[in-house]
Amino acid sequence: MTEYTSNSMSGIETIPADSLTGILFGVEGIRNAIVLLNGPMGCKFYHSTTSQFLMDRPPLYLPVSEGGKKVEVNYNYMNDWFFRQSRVPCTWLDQVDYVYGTAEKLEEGLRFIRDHVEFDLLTIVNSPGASLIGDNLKELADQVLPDKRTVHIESPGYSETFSYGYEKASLEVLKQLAKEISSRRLVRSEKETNAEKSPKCMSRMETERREGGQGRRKKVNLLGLSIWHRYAQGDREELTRLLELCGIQVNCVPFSGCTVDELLSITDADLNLVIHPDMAKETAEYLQQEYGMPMLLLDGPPIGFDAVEQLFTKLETLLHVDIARVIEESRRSRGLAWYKLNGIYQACGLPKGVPFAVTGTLPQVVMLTEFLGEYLGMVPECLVCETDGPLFLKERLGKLLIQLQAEGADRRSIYDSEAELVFADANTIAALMTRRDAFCGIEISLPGMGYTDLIPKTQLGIRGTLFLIEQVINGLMSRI
Amino acid sequence: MKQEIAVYGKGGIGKSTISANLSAAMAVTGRKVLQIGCDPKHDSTRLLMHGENIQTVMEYLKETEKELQNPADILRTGFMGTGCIENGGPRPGVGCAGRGIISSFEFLEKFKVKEQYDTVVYDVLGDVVCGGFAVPIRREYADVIVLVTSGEYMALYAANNILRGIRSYDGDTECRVAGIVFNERKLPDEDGRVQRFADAVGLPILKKVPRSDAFARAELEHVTLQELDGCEVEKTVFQELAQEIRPGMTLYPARPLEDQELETVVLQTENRNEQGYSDPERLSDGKERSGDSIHSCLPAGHADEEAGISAAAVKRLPLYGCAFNGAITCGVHLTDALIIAHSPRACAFYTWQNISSPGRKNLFNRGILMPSAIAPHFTCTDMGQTEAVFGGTEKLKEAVQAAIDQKPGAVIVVSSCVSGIIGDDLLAAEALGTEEVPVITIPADGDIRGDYMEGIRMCMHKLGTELIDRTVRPSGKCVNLINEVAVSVNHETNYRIIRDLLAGLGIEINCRFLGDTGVQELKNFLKAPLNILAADTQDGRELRSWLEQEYGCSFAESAFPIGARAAKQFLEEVAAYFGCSERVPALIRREEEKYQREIERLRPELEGKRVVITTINSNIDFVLQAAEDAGMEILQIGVINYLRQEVKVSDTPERYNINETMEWEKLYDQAGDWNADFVISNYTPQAEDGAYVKDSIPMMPLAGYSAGIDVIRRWADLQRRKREGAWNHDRVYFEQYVRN
Repeated sequence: MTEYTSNSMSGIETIPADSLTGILFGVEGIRNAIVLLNGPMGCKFYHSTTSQFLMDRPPLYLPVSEGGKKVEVNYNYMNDWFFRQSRVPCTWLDQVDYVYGTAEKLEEGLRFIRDHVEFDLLTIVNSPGASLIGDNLKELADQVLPDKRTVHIESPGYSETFSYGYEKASLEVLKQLAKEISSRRLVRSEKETNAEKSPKCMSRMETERREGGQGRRKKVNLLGLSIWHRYAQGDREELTRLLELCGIQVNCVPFSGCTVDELLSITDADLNLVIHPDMAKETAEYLQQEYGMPMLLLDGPPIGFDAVEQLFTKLETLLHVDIARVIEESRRSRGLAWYKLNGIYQACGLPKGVPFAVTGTLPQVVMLTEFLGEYLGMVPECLVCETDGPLFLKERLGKLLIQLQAEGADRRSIYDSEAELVFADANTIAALMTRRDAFCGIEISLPGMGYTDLIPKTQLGIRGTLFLIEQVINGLMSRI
Repeated sequence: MKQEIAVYGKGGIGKSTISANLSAAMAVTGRKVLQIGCDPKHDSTRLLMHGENIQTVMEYLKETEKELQNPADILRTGFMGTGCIENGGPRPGVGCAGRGIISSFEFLEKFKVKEQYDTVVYDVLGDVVCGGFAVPIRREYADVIVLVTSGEYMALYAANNILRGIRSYDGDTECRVAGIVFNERKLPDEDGRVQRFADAVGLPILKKVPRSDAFARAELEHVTLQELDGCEVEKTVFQELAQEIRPGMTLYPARPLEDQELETVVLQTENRNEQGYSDPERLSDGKERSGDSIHSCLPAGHADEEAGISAAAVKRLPLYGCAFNGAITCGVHLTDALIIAHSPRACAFYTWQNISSPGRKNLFNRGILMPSAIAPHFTCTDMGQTEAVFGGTEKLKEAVQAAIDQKPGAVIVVSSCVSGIIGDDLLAAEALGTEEVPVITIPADGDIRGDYMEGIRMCMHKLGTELIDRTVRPSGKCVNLINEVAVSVNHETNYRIIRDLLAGLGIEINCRFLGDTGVQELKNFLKAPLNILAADTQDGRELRSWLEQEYGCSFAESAFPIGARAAKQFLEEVAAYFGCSERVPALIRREEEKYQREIERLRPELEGKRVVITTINSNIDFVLQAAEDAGMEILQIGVINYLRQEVKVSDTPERYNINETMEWEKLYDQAGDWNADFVISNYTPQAEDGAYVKDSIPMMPLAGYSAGIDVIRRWADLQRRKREGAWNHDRVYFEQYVRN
């Protein structure tokens, strides 16, 4: 540290993202979509910059091609509506719009986007201020873009959680695209019926049978993943890799890098696998109710070898797939982890007994605490759940704390924590550093410190578990 | 077939009575009716409920946890199985009733409450005052719209306004208006007025509801006419009306009148002022019109400012960022104050990110700990739906009191769009302040009061006004630093450079207005005999002008010096002011020797090189001087002037070829024409190896002697290393494997 002047004041905590950010980053998780924020520019800049950073995506193209070739839009020169940022154009509402309504400017913005950018889906999202005015977004979108696919979200929520916003966006998109999803489902269903009758198609089905082992290759959707997760790309890739090892194909990862086309084909999957229940439980229930899609609702993201193995054991039962390769890889990884941990344990008795703190969503806190406490023998010293959750999960956490002899850890403020390892977002870690320095911060959620990952990392699945162990070992290095 | 009917009319015209009697008459015919009262005074269904007041949806949502919410709690059953719901809303003068309707409808939609009914009657408040009250006339709700009016001018005026609201949805052709229900008041020429209005807007009078004491009797007995004896005529009126309003009935387009036309038609008078124009705010009898024009939801002050402005007529410039964000970003530098963002968490979140982003990066990349950027003393009232609808003043007061209890140096409250629109009372929060802990309110109202820079300005002025002690007299050798740019990553480094330069003259820093300063330091602001602007920007000059006029402050002509020439002038001026010029030569000699040594080192590489620069509209003399001292030739300076301000890239513009209307896109075409060795621009597209050296001018240059040297040293380095890096050739793989 080069300079330190403490100005800490009690009771001040960091301010987490809320439902507006949840909605915007939910729909920004669709690859070829544009999100128009009907709001002031103050609400735009952060989301534009961050979305650009969070997900690699195709460039913007002009809506008309030249000589059959797509023409790229240089957003650096696009000062209207986009304000020289490629993501989240906005209607830059000001005082006059709050008095006279936003319709006129919104209409102009929609025309501009229609005429300057190619997209598969346009979503209009009201800012909290704009939502008080009550302009009819659907009406405007239908008038200006009658031939385009549009979704509108009029109420962004006020101070609701990020996951509330994300789920609201998910449901609105799926509901407003329901006609198209249903008609595509119908066409596919008819095709499959015809195909089964056609001898020509038997070879395809035969291939699928061979690939999947037993009949058609199984497909799943991964629900609840978001570009706002700390290691979004790595999470997608790791889960996809493990599922592939069992012959399961990932059909769609809604709102975390999927295309509109994949979203419209969401009902192709045999199962909705809900990775983050706080983000997608209602969505899975809607898909079950609307399209009869079965779901597997996890208690939390698969962190730790036990959780991964339990997940795949359930998939084995539900989808009748062979999970031997995953179990084998898990055991090989356990072996590798043992070798490293044993060396450290032999030398200094760590990581047993190391106090740790976690700040995150309830499912994240539960799963991480189980892994760190039960597998690594560490002690939860402070657990902060930023979001509420179902009673059974709270009870599970309570029982876990009793088992780990750490009752009361869930009632301590993160700023009173003396844990050696702090698992949190970078704002919390940084704020803690103004108060104490004898700890190591491990990022598990966004915002991050600013590290750019080129190699996708994850804290989920088998590789993610190894990465977490790696972070723990390195976090304790000064004591090893 | 399902039918949704919106009954609109001026407040007090009797639309709730008519709605309830219509619903009752429909129920008698066997229709399964749901009546939804959309008036904050929530008495629409009282007759159907036999006088029972039912809990409103908004009150329910306010009091009930989301997981426990159940539509059965707010849906009551009244006369003949009629479903009764009251949306409710805030008491007059607070909150946002329109938002209440939207929130309530979302709740009803979520739980599919309307599905069990074949007829829905919306009873909606008088006029279409804002978008919220217009929700029931959206196509996804009302199939049929009924206007209730008497022959009073204001009732007809309101009916006409409702037609305007409908037309904004339906245009000229779509037909959803059923007609007029004429609620008689026994006024002179009342029949004639209503008939003339109906004819002029092309609508039928569906029914005339006669003035009768039956309504008063029904009111007293808490029943609709259908349950009241001795009122067969009135009862029949509603039964016939119920028969008439049925699926498949003839509907009409909304064709409202202009104000003047309305007066002429209804009052049959020409109301012209001396200039011959109609005065829409004054009736023919000379009384002022009130109440029924389309309202702004903004508090009176805002509406006054907007008087006469048409959204269509004004071409406004975009506001970059919002005053809310600017005010908080500035305010967090008062280190022992506690800031309360009176806003939904969304606004506070990205303001927090804006403040903390440089803090996190500096911590992570360089190990520099910037407490006010990492752990700003800043919290949020987390305005929820309840506050948006019912008003957030009480919640704000609670947050302010909790903040005062922590005994900070001051509490600063900044308002957002939402709290500004609903008109929360910041002064009520200010009144909680004490002598020890003053409460200072900044009514930024999101971006309603202006952009990001305006927020900084508001914050500075308000904090100065509230905290600077006018009794303090200048003393000692110390200065105030004014208007340091809070978000710059160089902010802290530049402060240290200036602090060290001044220390060389034996001068101390009294107060940084505003950068990591305590309340007490700001109170002692006037102790410093001299003030120094951090940057000579328009905002800085305005602040200087204000401090000069308000407090008689003295300012150095020089701002924070950037580059060698400016640094020399700065030191000479400040030293002369404090009578310590004897210290200057040695200080300058030391710095200039360093500068010259570096220039001589770079000259062999840069001399004679040709430079084309494109820059935003800020002074770049520090670069120009260093480049020229090293013998480089400045071919052109192109200015990207988004804010359309006076171009000020150099204090000696006559020495340069300045293109004030530079188009960024053409820069690289022109670079070839100029045969330039260096193209300096803030946007660097890919170019061929070796065509020219590309670089940018730092947006926030370091202060002091070495600012220009730092830039041209990098140019020399880049020139030496012509190789762009082999990664430049891999775009083809990006196109092939990554892009799509």
